[in-house]
Parts: sequence; structure tokens; C-alpha cells
Amino acid sequence: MNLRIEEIHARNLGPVSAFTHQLRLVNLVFGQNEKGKTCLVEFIIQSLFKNPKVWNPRGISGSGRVVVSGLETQPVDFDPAAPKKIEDYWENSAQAFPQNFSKLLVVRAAELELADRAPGVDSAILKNYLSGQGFLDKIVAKIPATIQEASIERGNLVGAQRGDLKTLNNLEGVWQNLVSLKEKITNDMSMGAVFGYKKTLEELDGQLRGLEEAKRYKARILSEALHGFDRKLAVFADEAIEKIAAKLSNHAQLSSLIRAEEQNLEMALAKSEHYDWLRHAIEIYESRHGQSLPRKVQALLLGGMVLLGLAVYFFFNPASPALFFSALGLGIFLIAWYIYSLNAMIRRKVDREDIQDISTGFAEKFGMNLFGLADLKNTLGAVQPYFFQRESLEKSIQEKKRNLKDLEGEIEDSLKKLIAKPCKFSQVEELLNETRSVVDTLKSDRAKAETEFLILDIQPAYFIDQKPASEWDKEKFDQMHQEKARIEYAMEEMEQEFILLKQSACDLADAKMTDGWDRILFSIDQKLEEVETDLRGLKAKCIAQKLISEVSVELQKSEDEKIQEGLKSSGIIGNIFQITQKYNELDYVAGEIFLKDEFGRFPLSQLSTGAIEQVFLALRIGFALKAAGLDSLFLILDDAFQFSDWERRPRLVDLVLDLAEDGWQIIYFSMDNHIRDLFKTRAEKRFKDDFKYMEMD
Amino acid sequence: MKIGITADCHLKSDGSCPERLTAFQKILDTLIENQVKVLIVAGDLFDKDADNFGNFEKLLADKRYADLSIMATPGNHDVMARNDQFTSKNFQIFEEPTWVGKNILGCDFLFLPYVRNKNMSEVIEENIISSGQKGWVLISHGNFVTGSREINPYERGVYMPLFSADLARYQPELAFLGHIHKPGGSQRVIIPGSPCSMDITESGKRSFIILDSTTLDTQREFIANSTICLDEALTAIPSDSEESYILEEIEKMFRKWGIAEEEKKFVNLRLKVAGYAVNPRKLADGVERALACVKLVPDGKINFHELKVSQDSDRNFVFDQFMAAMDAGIEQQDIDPSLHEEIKLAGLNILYG
Repeated sequence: MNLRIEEIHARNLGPVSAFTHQLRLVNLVFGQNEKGKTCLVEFIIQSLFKNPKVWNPRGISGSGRVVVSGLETQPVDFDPAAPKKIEDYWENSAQAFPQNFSKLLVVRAAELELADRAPGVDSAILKNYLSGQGFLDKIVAKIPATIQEASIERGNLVGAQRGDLKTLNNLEGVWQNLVSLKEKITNDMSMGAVFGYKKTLEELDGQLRGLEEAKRYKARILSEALHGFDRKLAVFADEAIEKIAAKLSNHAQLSSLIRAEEQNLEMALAKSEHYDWLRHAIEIYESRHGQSLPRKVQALLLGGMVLLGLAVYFFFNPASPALFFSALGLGIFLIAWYIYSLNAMIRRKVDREDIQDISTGFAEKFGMNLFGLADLKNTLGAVQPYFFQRESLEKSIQEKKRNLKDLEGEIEDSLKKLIAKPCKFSQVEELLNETRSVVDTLKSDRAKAETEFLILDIQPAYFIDQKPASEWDKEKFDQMHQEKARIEYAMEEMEQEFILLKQSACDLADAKMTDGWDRILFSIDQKLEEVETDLRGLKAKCIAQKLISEVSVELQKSEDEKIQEGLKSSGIIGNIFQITQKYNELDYVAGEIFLKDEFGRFPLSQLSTGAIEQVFLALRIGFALKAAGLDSLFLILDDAFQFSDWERRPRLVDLVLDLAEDGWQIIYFSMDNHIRDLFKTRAEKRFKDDFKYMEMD
Repeated sequence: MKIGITADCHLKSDGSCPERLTAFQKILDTLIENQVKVLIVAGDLFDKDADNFGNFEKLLADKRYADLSIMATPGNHDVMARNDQFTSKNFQIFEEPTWVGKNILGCDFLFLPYVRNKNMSEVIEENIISSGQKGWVLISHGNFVTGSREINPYERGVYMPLFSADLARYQPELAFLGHIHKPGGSQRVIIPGSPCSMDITESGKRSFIILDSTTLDTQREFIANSTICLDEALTAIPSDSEESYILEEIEKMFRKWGIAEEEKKFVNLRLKVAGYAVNPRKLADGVERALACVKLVPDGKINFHELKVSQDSDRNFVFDQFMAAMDAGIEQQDIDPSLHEEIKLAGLNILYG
């Protein structure tokens, strides 16, 4: 590549009204002081290079353009106002020129140093042009500090969470979330399970409906049964049964009464069995005695008892012993008299034989001895009520038995009505008990049926007539309901989980809840693809940056050595010696250049201005040669040799003309007559038509 | 009992893409050679809109295949295929979910046709005989959903997905799924892949599965297709040995796809060579010479548009150091080897871009 300024067109540059020239390989522009040479140089600088402030330019008032070839297939126009400068072409070129290479291309008087600070050559420039690794520093400078400070561990970049590392971490988080989500979906979600639940629920619902129908059918059956029970129970009315029972009770009571009366009759008969004998015996007994005991005898007994009573009274309440003894004596006398009179009468009047028979009969019949008529009469007195009771009892019994018979007829009739079949009274109780048992059973069954019916809790409006396939089974029904509830709960849990999964998926993959899983999964895959692409790209970039920064660090270690090697290269040393005719060796220690001659080693900063100028020119040209390689560029010299010794000037001119021989375009601006003549003479001789002399008016 | 299993043949009815029918025929020939009597097609036997099956039926009418029984389940492309559209007695398409018992196939097979907008488990659930049923094999057409992604480039989207949870629920011993054209799968879910590349993006040799339905062992049989598609991109590195480097990359590419020297003539290669070279022309010439035996598509050329020149020996040196550092990182397991090419490209862009 040959980079050349082909044309310069300028006008109204301060004192320069117009400057239009096509340039050649070697060009000398001469202008006396105040003719506008500096303005023209600054115009060219501002047209071609970025950051013109580093050149401390003066303001450009005019206009024009500088045409440069070698950047594109066609020459390119530059002007101070255009944003695109030569460096822009270099930055984008694979064979990139260093950005500050532009400073090499313009050499101004007393500005031969390459950097702004003393001693004029900084390590960056030395790296650029001498070590060959300077470009790496520029690349590394663009790598964020976060990446440079990070480390690569087990496939990850570990470092401060800033910039690309933070983005990388976020992308990895998103990627991990997407992968985890997909894994969760595939591992946890089986839609078939939900459909299985639904299928089971449908089956259960069918069975439950069948049972529900069976329940309604059973309710109808029970309802009918209850009516049946009621009808039967209406026939076997409790009142009717109780009436019969009451009659039976009456019958029993009556029978009992009859039995009691019969017993009484029997007893009366037994007790009055000898009533007739007694009456006859008394009659006999009385006929044998003719009379009864005389009243006088009876008075003796009574008087005797009274007197004895008085004696007892006087004994306990003494008033006069005479009264006591009188009453006692008289009383004993009267009693004794009574006994005597009574015995005399008996011995005198009773027929012993008849009496004996009566006595014997009496003893046999009554089991006791007969002592007299009184016994007979007393006994008769005792028997007589029984004798008289017998008749009334017999009448009563007859009456009651008739009543009993009537009652039995009533009972038989009532029971016949109740059980609708004829019966004998002897069967009544048994039949009534049977009927009662039937009624009790009916009632019990009805109660059961009613309970069952009430538990079913089915209104008549919901009864069904047709018998369903299933039988009502409450236990089964409850079990199925429980099973249904369990499945519904499990299904709900599962569906809830799926909804949450779907929500997460939609959030992560920008899908909609209304989308199907196929669509959502595709969205996840798309998102995953997108994130993976970004993640891999960024990760690769960050790792590459980190590796390059590591390579840079490794190379840095040998960089000083390489800079020294560069400074000692024949191109640099040759130029130094050719220009200074003195120094034949360069050294670089701790960022400072040292020069050596046969007498010693001197820091560059301590040399004279002229010597420094020469050294920097030599370095500049040497750097340019090294950096440009096989390429040639242009070199603008703005009275660069103005402060050089007159003896050195020819050598300097020859030096730049040698550069032109190598293909470099030389553009020398001068206001110095000596340099003009020197340059013109030598250039015309060596380059003939490739040399152009221009003089500013 | 041995059974051949394939999928995604995408046979055309208009006579186009005859290589697909040829690939199908090669499967039949391989089965005959191996005395296999049954071929199962897990969906997409026919391409969409196929309505004339004359060529297919003509092929099946060949006496050589008379004893071969072909059973297919419809995929998303041939979802409308019906038995009454075919006259071949040795061909059967399962229009509805169908169990084929062990008396016929050596174990129980559930043929599940593709159903639009449904998860596979929904259809399985409707057809599973009993919960806990074991020892059965699923044949269907759809995506097996895993944490990673496997997109069918021929047809993007997710079709009748099958989840890992479904495998746990229904316990098939094996599942053979059509739809994804790239052969693959896992221990229980096997993707036979398409027997013939549909386009250049379906790289590599194609194959089908032979299943022993008694032991449930499977083996992959490669199909000797007349075309092996490869779609590759290589990255050149500028150095003195850049040509030998890229030639070694080309050999690695063939090794990766298991393509032997004698098979290279069947390769249809779409190749992009990017990166940087000291001498791109010389490098390109070397690559073209090395690939003279393959067919380059689409226009007989290699894409060198993104191959740039770099004669900067300093940068080349630094890049060498960079590559060495990356290789060391991979060796020490600090760098994911799958990122090798991307890191290399990123390094090139940083250093030369």
C-alpha cells in the first residue's frame, strides 16, 4: 500500500488566498515568513488527522481539500470539517496502523519528540514500534477490567458482577431457569394423569348416578312400603285390639271372681256340711233336757262374779276389810252355789244315751268334745252363716257364668272382625297375641322403613319408578363419594401445579396462558435457543478476552527485552548513527532511553536540543519503517531541520530523500533559504520529474 | 423376533425427491437380507399433501418384499392417510390407536397416530389397557421433551409432546418416536431419524433401527444412501501452517460424521470457511483440492466470503498463544470444549477485527 497526498486545494487560509497543487514523490513548499506556510500545514493536519488539538493548531478560517490515495481504490478527499479521518481507515483495517502513528507523519520544527511529555518517547510508542506487541496493549485496553480480573474455573468466568460478567451471569440464570423449567415440566407433568383422573371421575359419576337412581327408586319403594304398613296398621287398630284385650281382661276378672265364688261355695258347702245334723242334734238335745238353764242359776253366776269384782276392787283400794271379806265371801258362795245347782240339774234331766250319741257324732264331725247344748248351739252359730251363704253364692255364680259366656261371644266377634277369620274363644288369646305380634312387627318394620326413608331424604317429586341396574348401597355410595373427593382433590392439586408451571413457562418464554403446551414448549425452546446463542456468544467472547489478557500478561514479561531488542535493531541504530554521526547504541531502562557512544552512556533527556531533535527524527523514521513494513507513506516536514547545525543539514536532507527512494512521499515546508537550496539541489538531482518545487506568494 | 423401525421418510407422491423412496427401498433390502419380516414406520411415511401412492405401492408389489409386513402410524404430515387408499396387502396404517399383541410382534406394541393439539399422554391415557401395564412398546410421532432442546429444522414447533413423567406413569419399555429427523434419543426413547436427508441441514449418514422384540435390544443400521449431506463451517487460523491446519479440520469433520474415505464421494457438502489466513488464495486452493472428491453445494463452491487476510506476524503469534491457552484451559476442564469454535472465532474477531 502506498499512502500519498495526491492533491492539495486550499483558499483563504490567512495570507494564502489560493493553493492548488498536484503533489509528486518529493515536494518542497517554500514560503517566506508570514506567507501562510504554517496555516497551510495546519490545514493539512486538520484535514487528515483526528484529535488536532494535540497539534495545538491555530484556527482554520479558509476551506479546501486534501486528496489522498492508497486508502481505497479511488483517491479520498479530506477536509477539516469532514468527520472521517485517515485513522478511521486504519482502525478498520486488518493491517491496522497504530492510531498515534499519525504523529509520525508530520514533523514540525522543534517538535521532533513523539510524545507530549519528556523525554518525548513513551513506552506505548516504543511498544508499538519496537516490540511488536503494542497493538496487544490497545486490544487489552479495550477489554473491561472485570474480565481481566476474572478467572476461568470449571467452564465459568468468576469475577465481579459488572458489565459483561453480570450480563453473562444473568443469561446463565435465565438459561438455567429455562432448562430447570423444562426438566420440571417433563419430569412432573403428565397430562395423562389429569385425563386419567377425569376418566375415573366420569366412571365414578356414572356409578354414583346409578346409585342415586337406585336411591330414588328405593325411596319410592320405601314410601310405598310405609303406606302398606299404614294400611295394615289401620286394620289392626290398637283401639280394637285394646278393646278385645280389655274384654279379655274383664273375662279373666270375671272368671277369677267365679272361681273365687266357687271356692267360697265349696268352702261354704264344706263348712255347712253338718248344719242339718247340728240342728237335729240340738233338737234332740233340747228335747232330752226339756228346758234350758233357769234364770236363778244364771243370777247366781252373775251375782258371784260381781262380788268377786268388788273384792278385787277393795283389795287394791282398801276402805274397810269387812267390805273386802264380805264381798269375797259372798262372791265365792254365790259361785259355788251356781256350780252346785248346775250339776244337779244336768245329772237330773239328760238322757245319757242320746247325749252320748250326739257327743260322739259331734266329736267325729267337729273334732272336739261336746260339753253341752251350748257347744252345739255355738257350733251351729258358727256354721249357720255358711249355710245361708251357699244359696247366694250359687245364684251369683250362675249369674256370672252367664255374663262370662256373653263376654266370650263378644270377644270372639271382635277378634273375628279384626283378623277376618272365625275363631273360638279358646284361641282368642293366642290369636290376639299373634295379632299383637304382627302389629308389633309391622310397627317395627315401619319404623325401620321410615328411618331408612328419612335418611334417604328424597322428596316424592324425585321418586323414580323404573328399577335401575344398581341396588342402593349407602356404604358403597359413601365410599365412592370419598373416592371422588380424593380424586378431585388430587386432580385439583395437579392442575394447580400445572397452572403454576404454565405461568412460570409463560413468564419465562413470553407465551400466553391461553396457549397450548405444544405452543408454550416451542416458545421455551425458542427462548432457550435465543438465550443459548447469546450466552454462548458472550461466554466465548468473555473467555476469549480473558485468554487474550492472560496472553498479554505473559507477553508483557518479555516486552522490555523486546523493546531493547527493537531499539538495538539495525534500522533504528543505523538511522541514529547516520543522523547523529555519534551514537551507535540505544538502551531502554525504566522507561527512559539512553544513548551510547565510544565515550559513555547518556540519558536522552540530558542531550542538547539539536541532538534530541536528531535522535527523535531518527527514531521517528526508524519507527515508521518498522511499523510500515513494506508499505510507504507520506512524511510532512515543517522546517524540521531548522534548528539543526548547518553541518548536519545535508545529511538530514539526504536521509529523507533516501526515504523517498524507498517509496516514501516527502513534503517539506520551509522558510529557510539554506535548507530550500540544499533540498532543491539534491532533490532535483536525485528525483528529477518526481520532484516538485512550489513557492508561496 | 426382529423388527425394523424407521420414521419420517416423507415420500412424495409427485415423483419428486426419488432419493427418499430409494432410501426406503434400501431399508427394505436390508431387512430382507437380515430376514426381518416387519417394518414399523413411526409417522410421516408420506410427505404432506401426498395423495398418490403409486410408486410406493409399486415398490411393495415387488415379490422380494411379499413376505414383509409394513405397519405405519400417521404422523403430522400424513395424518390423513387411510388404509382404504392403499391396495398393498402387506401394508397397514393404523388410523386409530391400536394395540398389536405379542403373538404378532413378539411383545405388545401401541401404535399411536399423531393427534393435533394433544399431548401424547392424553392419547395414551385413553388407550392404556390397565395401569401398571408392563412390557409394551410405544410407537408414535412427536417430540420427547427433555431439559435440552432438539428442534426439527425441517419443521419448527413442538408436536404431540411426550414427557418423562409420562414414561414413569405408563411404563413403556421403549418408545420409538418419529418427527425429529436427527437420529438420537435416550435409553428408553429412541429417535430413528429420517432415512434420507430432507435437505442439506440434515447432516450425516442416515440410519434405522432393528429391534429384537423379545430382548428389546436395539441396533442402528446405516443406510447406504447415495447422498450424505453435511452442512459445516470451519474457521481458518492465520499461520505458516494454516493450510495443514484447515485440512486437518476437514478430516476431523469427516471423522465426526463417521464418513470413511470411500464414502466421501457420496457427500454433499455445504461448507463455509471463515477466519483469517496469511494467504487466503493458497488456503482456498488447498481446501478445494482436499474436497475435490465431494459434491459442493449449492453451486459447487465453498463459501470463503468471510475468510480475511492477515499478514501480521505479531498478531498471528499472539493468536497462537491464545489458542494454546484455550487448549490448556480445555485440557484442565476449565473451558467447555463445546465452546472451542466460538471462542476461537471470538479470539479472531478481537485480535484481527
